Amino acid sequence: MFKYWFDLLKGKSPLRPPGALPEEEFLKRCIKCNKCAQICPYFSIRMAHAEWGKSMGTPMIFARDIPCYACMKCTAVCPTGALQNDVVKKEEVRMGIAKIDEEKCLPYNGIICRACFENCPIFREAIILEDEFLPKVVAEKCIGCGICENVCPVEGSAIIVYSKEAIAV
Amino acid sequence: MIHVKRNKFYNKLNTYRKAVQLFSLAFLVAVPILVVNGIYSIIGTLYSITIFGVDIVDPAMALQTTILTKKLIETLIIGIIIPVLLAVIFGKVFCSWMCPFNTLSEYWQSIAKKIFPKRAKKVKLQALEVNPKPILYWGILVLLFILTVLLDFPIITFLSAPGIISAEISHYIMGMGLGLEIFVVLAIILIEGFLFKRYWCKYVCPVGGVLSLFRTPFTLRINHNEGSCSCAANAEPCSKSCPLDLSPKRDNLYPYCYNCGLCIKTCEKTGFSALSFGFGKKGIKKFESQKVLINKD
Repeated sequence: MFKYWFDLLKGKSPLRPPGALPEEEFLKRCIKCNKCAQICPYFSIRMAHAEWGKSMGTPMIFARDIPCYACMKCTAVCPTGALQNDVVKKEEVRMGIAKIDEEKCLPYNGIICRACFENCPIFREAIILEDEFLPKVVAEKCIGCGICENVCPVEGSAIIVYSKEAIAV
Repeated sequence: MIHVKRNKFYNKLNTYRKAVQLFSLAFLVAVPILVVNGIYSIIGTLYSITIFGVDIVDPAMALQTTILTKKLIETLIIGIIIPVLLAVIFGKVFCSWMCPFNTLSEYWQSIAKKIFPKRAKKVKLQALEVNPKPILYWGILVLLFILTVLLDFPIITFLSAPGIISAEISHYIMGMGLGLEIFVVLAIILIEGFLFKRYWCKYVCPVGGVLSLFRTPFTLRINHNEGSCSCAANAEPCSKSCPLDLSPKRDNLYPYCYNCGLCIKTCEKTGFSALSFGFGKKGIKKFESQKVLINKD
């Protein structure tokens, strides 16, 4: 419940780092050792504070601040397997799925913008341009890295990555 | 001559211990600073740390994860090898030599004594006179793990003072701010200062508790030689110097004692040398009591 309010207040939708186990299993395994946050060269991974309740101290990614660039360094250092290191290719990551808010999105309002399309790491596959103009997310290919959410010029971002599962609070 | 050497050895040992304690605190600050500057050879906190590719995991965390997930996780088993070996050979030396909470607590006790001398005396009085029975220690440890299973939530992580301290140092330096977890440590320290002297390390701490599980009959221990113990019966400078208020002369010293060696150092000062480190329990040696006679002359 609090998560909803905090999302609203902060305008942030948290993601787990790549290779994360399903939420319930993740919380049992994660020992809050901070290795993933430390090894991340982009400082994408942040450790959650008390406002995240049960998830306090566990790693999260707030894509609007700093997205995940899928370098896959964090999965290799996790000592408990909370981040599974058998996911090695970035194409196999499934952190979440991006959704476009068509009311906010500039092309849907007649203004040319290709920010999300051009920055998507799964280029021309996860985000395609319909009629060379309107961006569309291909759910099967989207890895949920949040780069699109990060680069969107609209205030509050017109494309937001939602984690596969609601993160436990 | 032997006596002078022993005296020097135990004095030096304590100096080294204090140096390692401060080094360990500095180390915990240095790791995130190096990481922020792009040097990743050492990463982690005291929950789990990787030093030049060698993984080390806190056995308490490994046990907690194993119990919660009911799975044996390879990386955890490999990770606990070094701490377990250390605990099997030297006992809970992690606590007395490296744990940042113990370091803070030791200094806090000496500061508290100076700031609130009356309060400190009262706190001292509440400490138990005799070493408590081991069942108390094991009972609390088992209780904590039962609670973990019942809540189905890793509470041991939030009760590991060294882990919290190192993680919060890392949070702070990496620009994530301090978390509420730090209040766990503050609460423990305040209660230690004003209510129960050193109760956390002595009875509760699950990190030390799990390390105690690996004690064998041949693990480093403090031996008491009754033959040369000649202080007045009530004086007991050894137990007065013990940071955990234990008496090395009595039974049930283990699993509580963490082998810091302060009692031995104090005993050496009296000139009787009745205490010594040894691997496994040793009987009274004749030559030691003879040596005391020589020293008396």
